[in-house]
Amino acid sequence: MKKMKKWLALGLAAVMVLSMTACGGSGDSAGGGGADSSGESSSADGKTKVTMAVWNGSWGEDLQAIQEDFNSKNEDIDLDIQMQTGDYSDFLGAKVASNDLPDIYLLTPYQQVVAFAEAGRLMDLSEEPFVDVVYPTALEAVKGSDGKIYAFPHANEYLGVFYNKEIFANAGIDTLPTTRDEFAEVCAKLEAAGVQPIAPTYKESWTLKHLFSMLLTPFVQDDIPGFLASLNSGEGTFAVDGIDEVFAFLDIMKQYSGSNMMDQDSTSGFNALANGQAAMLLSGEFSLSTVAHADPVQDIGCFAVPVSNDASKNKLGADVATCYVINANTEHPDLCKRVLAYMSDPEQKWITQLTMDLGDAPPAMPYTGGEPSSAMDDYTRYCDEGNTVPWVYQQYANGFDVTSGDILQGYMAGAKDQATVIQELDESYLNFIQ
Amino acid sequence: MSILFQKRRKFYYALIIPALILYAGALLIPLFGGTIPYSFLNWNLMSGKKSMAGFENYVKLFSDEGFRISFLFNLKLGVFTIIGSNLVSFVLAYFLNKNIRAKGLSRALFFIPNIISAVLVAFIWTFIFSQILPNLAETMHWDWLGSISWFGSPGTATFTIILVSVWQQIGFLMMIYTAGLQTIPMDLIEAGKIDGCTGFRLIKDIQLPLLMPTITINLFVSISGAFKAFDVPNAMTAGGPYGTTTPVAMDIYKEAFVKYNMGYGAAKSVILFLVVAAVTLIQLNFTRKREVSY
Repeated sequence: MKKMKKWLALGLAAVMVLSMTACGGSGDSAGGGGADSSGESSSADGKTKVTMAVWNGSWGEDLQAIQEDFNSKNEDIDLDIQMQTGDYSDFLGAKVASNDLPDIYLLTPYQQVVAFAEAGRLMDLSEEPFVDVVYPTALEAVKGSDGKIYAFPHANEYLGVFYNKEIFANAGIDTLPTTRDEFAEVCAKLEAAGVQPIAPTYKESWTLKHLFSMLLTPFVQDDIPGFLASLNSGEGTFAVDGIDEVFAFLDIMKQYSGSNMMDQDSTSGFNALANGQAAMLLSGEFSLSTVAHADPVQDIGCFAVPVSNDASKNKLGADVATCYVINANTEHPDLCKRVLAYMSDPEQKWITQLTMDLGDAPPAMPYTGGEPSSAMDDYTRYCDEGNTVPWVYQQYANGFDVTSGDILQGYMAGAKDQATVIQELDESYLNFIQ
Repeated sequence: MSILFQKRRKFYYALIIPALILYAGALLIPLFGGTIPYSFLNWNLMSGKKSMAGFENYVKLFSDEGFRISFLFNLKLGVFTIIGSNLVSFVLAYFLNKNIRAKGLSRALFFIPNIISAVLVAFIWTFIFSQILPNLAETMHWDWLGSISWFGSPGTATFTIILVSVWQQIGFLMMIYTAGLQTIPMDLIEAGKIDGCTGFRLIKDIQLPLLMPTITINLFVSISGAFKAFDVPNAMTAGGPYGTTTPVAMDIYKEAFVKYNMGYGAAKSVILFLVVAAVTLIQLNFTRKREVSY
């Protein structure tokens, strides 16, 4: 009897401990059940599960609709799109570390695709149908170091100056600035008209990594591979010809971004443009999602950052910002390819749904439909004229882009001068090359 | 050791086993099987390449400016939040232990920040600093207030994080101090009063010494909290401006998951672990000695 009591006590102690793990464990499996569930699992109705991971954005409802559409059209596939809340790079890192990546997932182009392809994680997609429809420039962004195509570049995004057409007209500005001096004049005119010229977002350093890339690329556009090769060899420097113009432009931005510019993040900056509190915002087309939700919706156009006084250098930054890859170790390569074919068909819901709203990125291929807007018209014009440049930050050694934003923040806050910033950029780049 | 203990020793150890297994699975195995071995590797998470690095990662740490800045920030954050939150919470607990009206309600109000998620707390305060204060300054024509850039300089950004951390922590610490104050027998205090010990001397010579066990716990909680700080700085400044408010925990996270240097990140966590362990051991030793029994 006494012995039984002892065993009972032991059992209870074990149950108590296990009940704690049960509570903790449920969160894990809900958050990161990736390819582990893709293995032999097929749902009750005989469908095979294909998992796809994307990062969390404003597209939750769109993806839900797409998933339903896809699953209703495919009797043998159960597509499961998982939105990763929180930091996607954290998710990727954890999945890589545990060797547990989903069947299809999002990556950023260039360096990340190259690194993942070299590590043997990606399926070669060079023979897929999308290769024939996607713009050739977009395919450049998703090639591995062996020249094969490893990802589907689903959209182009663009970085530039987004401006409020009505405010510009009211301030008597009828021609858009094409040089830095003209830009400074425009800012002065706007300020004289009682409008804040530029909406700041400098509290968040990722906006500054975009900004620095936007300003730097025009000066290295003629030889981007050469610029990066010199950086990657450890001999390069950010003190390129024209870097003085970059900092001169930053000085204009600091002068016209309002008094508390370092306290404003992307949310408040995007809102300032959307509500007509500021005339311009230097950011990407994604900021227009905020504009779309304001009432009334402001008429926002877009032009290339006039960073140089040589107008011919100033081009709109348009590039592939995200792409989809297939896990090389997936158990269902053919099913995954069918999902990809659906995603790259302009007639299907993937593209029609994801281009419906203002602020949606245009697909990197010819398509019809989409929400017409002044900014889209401007983007199309720049593309047609061939006046676009890529985003150089995506081609830095993996991880340096984040640091570049942090360093530039010191200049915006007035704590570091141009020489210090360049020196810090050069020195910290060395930490990212092996 | 009683005879009974000797007799049942095996059974007592058996009772620990389930918890020990959990502890081993959640902490010991990851630490000794993962973090510590990883810290001797050159492991880039993106390329997947691993190679032995020996003590290279640890050597690199000593010349790492970013790590030094985060460590100093942690120290600053630690010193000010530990002193600030313990002082304020003790004062609150002391006065809310007196016979005043709406005592329970006041205690509850001071406790509320503690039950709100730290991230939410940080967002509320960010809104106050970046939107409400500038607007207030404009309406009241307080130019001195309007000209402060709360997140634009390392000093002010650190101040906002300290303020919010203190604000969030005091509720919990206050509750423990209140409980401690209530365990002090009234007769000791009354005896002290009869002997002419009143006011501040009563606190200093009778109540504080008797509170030492509580102070031990509170210091332990706030010290380890300060070194592990992540959520409030992350949501308020994300480490900015230019990385000056990055606590060590965030620096480690960025090293491993943003810069993808898993091995180097692991080396940083080992150092953080050792420092926190050392600091808390010293503190426990120090305050335990001052505990009095009656």
